[in-house]
Amino acid sequence: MMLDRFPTLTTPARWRDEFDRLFDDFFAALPDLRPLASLTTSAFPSMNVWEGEQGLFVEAEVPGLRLADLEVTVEDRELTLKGERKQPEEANAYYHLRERGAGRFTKVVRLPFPVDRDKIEARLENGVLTVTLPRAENARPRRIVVQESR
Amino acid sequence: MSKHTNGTNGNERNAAAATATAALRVPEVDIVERKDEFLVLLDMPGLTLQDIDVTLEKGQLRVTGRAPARHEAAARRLVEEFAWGGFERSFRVGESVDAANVTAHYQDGVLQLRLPKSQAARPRTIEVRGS
Repeated sequence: MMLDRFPTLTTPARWRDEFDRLFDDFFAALPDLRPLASLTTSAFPSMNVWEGEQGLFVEAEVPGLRLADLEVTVEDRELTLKGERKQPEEANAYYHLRERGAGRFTKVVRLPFPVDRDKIEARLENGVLTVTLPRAENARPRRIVVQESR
Repeated sequence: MSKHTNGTNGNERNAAAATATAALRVPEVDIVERKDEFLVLLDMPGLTLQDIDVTLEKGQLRVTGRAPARHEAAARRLVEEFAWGGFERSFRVGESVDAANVTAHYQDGVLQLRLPKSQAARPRTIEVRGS
């Protein structure tokens, strides 16, 4: 039997839409300056996201998961991490403590800039998933040369 | 389903850890009692074998995993939900455990400890005889 035992910090999709709209309005004049952080949809897995010159670096803690349990997709400007952590229910055993979550999860991160989809790399090592998303060519920072007026 | 013994959930712990990067986090744990052993599972992702220490001394089982310093390229943090640094958690172990035969195994970010029950603590079937 599979129980969803992850903390119930999930944001209903409805709220997310509201939230998006809020920021849509707020940032209407600045279309590419939407905040990224708040759009995660479940508490598990814990995630860190960094932005560098080359692109975006995402790491997520998924202890006990194998590649087959994970699905990483990038669509439009969203990175979605889906998966399931299975915890076999042991017969003839007594659980003194049960803190580790189990069940399905979905986590969405909004990407702050377009990424080069063909060059996305994902790696799973010791329960940590890392995803690197290089900036799309047209999203690379450009140095603007300031010229001295003569 | 058991409740957390320390009154916090993982996220609160993670949030607390994020403010003090050096602090060790408390890993989430399952403790399963089987017929002839206790199984302890700890979520400790991101470590290597050399980072993990398991000691059993004076009835205290202590697990420590220190994550090596991680390179942080000149980058802007957008989301920070967990801190690197490592994990630590201790358990009291009674005489029902055969301390000499405890084993530890680390795979996919989960540390698995097996604590065999001492002979005295194992269930016994008493044969019922007729007169």
